[in-house]
Amino acid sequence: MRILNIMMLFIGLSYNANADEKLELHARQLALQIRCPVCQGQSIEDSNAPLAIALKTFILAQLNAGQNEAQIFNELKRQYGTRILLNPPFQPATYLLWLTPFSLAVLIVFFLMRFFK
Amino acid sequence: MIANLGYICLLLSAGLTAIIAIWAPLQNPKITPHKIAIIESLSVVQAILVLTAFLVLVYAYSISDFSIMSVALNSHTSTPFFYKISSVWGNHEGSMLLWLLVLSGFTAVFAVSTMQQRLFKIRVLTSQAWIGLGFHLFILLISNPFIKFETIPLNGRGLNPILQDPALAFHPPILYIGYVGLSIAFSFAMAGLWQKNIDQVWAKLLKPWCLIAWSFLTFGVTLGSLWAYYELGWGGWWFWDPVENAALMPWLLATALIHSLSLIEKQNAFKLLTTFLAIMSFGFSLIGTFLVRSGILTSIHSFAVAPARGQFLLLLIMLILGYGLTLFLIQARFLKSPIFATPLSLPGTLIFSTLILSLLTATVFLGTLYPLLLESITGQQLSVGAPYFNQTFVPLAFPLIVVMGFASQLSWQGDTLYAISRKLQIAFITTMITALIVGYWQKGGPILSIASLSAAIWLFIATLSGVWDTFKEVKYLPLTYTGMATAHIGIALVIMGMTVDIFWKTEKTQIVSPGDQIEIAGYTLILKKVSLMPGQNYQAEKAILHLFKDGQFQGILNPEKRYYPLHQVIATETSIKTRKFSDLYIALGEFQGCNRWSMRFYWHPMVNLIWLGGAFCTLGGLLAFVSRLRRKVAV
Repeated sequence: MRILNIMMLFIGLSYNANADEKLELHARQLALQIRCPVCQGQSIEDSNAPLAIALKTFILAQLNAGQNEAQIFNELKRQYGTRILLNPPFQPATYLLWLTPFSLAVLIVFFLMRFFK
Repeated sequence: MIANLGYICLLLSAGLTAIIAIWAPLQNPKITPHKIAIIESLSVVQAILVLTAFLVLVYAYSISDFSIMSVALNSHTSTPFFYKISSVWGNHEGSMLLWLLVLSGFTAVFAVSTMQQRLFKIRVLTSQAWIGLGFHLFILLISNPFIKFETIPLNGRGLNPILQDPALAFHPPILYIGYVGLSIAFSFAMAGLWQKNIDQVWAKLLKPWCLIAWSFLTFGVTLGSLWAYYELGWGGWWFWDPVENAALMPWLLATALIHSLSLIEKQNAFKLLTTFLAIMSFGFSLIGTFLVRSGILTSIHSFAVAPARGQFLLLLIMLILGYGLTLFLIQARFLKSPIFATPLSLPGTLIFSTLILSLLTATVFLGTLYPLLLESITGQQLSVGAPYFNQTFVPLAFPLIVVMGFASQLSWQGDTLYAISRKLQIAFITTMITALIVGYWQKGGPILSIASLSAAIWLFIATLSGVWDTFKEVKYLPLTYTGMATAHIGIALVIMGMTVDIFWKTEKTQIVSPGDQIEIAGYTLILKKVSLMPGQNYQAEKAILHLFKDGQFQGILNPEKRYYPLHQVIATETSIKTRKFSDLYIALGEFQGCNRWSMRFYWHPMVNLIWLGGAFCTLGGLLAFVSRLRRKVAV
């Protein structure tokens, strides 16, 4: 595992030299959505743990290799489990999580419209 | 020896609390002034006993009395004196005692405050006593800070180094004053529901308590965010960490409560939701205490995982909240009150804000607890992090900011669209210009940067225009209005700071060795050297960097890494140079061998507006509080 990480780091570094800024920005946005597995609740973008750095370089390397967002996330999910995604995917188990706030908002709008009539 | 004194004080205090809790509710409207005086003095004596117990603990920490377990586990002879004192509440047992101290303090101050509604006062004291009794039991049974060691250890384990920081030393007491101050709101709701009497006087009496609690809560959250920013070493100021959310939820509800209390005060309306908010804002304080103290959500703030404590606390919270909500449901029909408001009126915006703030609280609550609920029901693991809250909380909060801008110019009776657009035309035009400039500069950029910066400018200018018009009209500024405007301007500043920092910060991670030059945001930094320095209870690696702008020497930055041998923990001490409201922020990283270090450089533009805004909000709350006190004296 550790060797893999170090390898990723080097692959990342070699790409880093000629990575264009836009790609780096994209990598940073993705990194914000990945939980640092060895920290507590921070994203890998907000962490300086060796594993977080390795994962950041992994993301950049994957982007450079032409992988898209979903492919990268799936690979990370495969290796570390769903918990690594800070952005919970929209699926039956999270319908309640995603839909409640907006349904409540609709309810409030409805209430206010009746109220102000 | 001294530990026994503290423990006896707590036992006596628990006894007195039990007497109040059982005796006070038996009183009926024919209660004699004599009996009232006794109950009041009992409340005061009880608070003095808890204070004595607390001071005993402080004393034990100050002399490093390691015969007491909590001292031995959380302090050390080499801990600097200031942090020996703050270690008192830097651990579970001490921090719960502080919680009880603040509760007893509020109860005592309430007991000595003058009030015509005598029986009502006794009812409030009853509720406070029951809450106090619960926490006395909790502390005496499973969270006793005075437990002694059989054999006295030679030295203690020391304070968690990450807590060895001035902002974090003051953070818990300030936050607790906010959290626990809301207990008065809960007890007011209980007393009001019991007497089926929640009216304008009730709201008037309660408001100052809510304002003082809210101010401290605001201040506490601001301090916590500031600490995370400079201590954790990557320049973030809000992580949507469960423990941050634990403080945010009561803050949101207390904000809603302050605003909806005005509706009862002025129109004797909106009682149902206001009473509910009074119960729930303290409810969320309790839930927050539980989340942090039980260690159920493991995060940097959690100190230990002890299931018995968690279960007891949960039971306590369920009893308190369960009683509160049951009484609320039984008496709810007495709270029905007609309300008349148009959308373009102050009551209209107050109702809107109260509802949105409640919605935001529900969202934070759901996001914080969802992983826990899902795992316990289906076993499925999942994270709910910042991206979730950014996609739900932020867009839902947006209309609130827009409406806040209107609030400064609206009247209680309501205004016509024409009149209000005349009053707000300057704010409207400024906002449009901001949106255009930012949009052009950002080349259409992330829509959120344009929207939230414009919203902040809108709120800022609209509030200022309200202040100006009020001043023109009455030739002075009423204190209550000034308080409101100050807090609203604070919110505008917070949003400005957050937006600018999120969208325009720059960062660089570089491997550097002495003599290297680093360019960031128009500044040049030269690394002079990195040396080892001994500290009082740590070893520091300290870098010295010289800062230049346009060839001019600007100062020295010293980012540090501290190694605490006692805990074998490395903590980063960032170095920050503030220029106007922006920060140059440096954190020292790992040693890379051969005289090279990894170092992180950040430019955080306008980031200090966040804490300045927090200070404005706190000040606004305090101004409104003072205006209440003065009014009381006038009556």
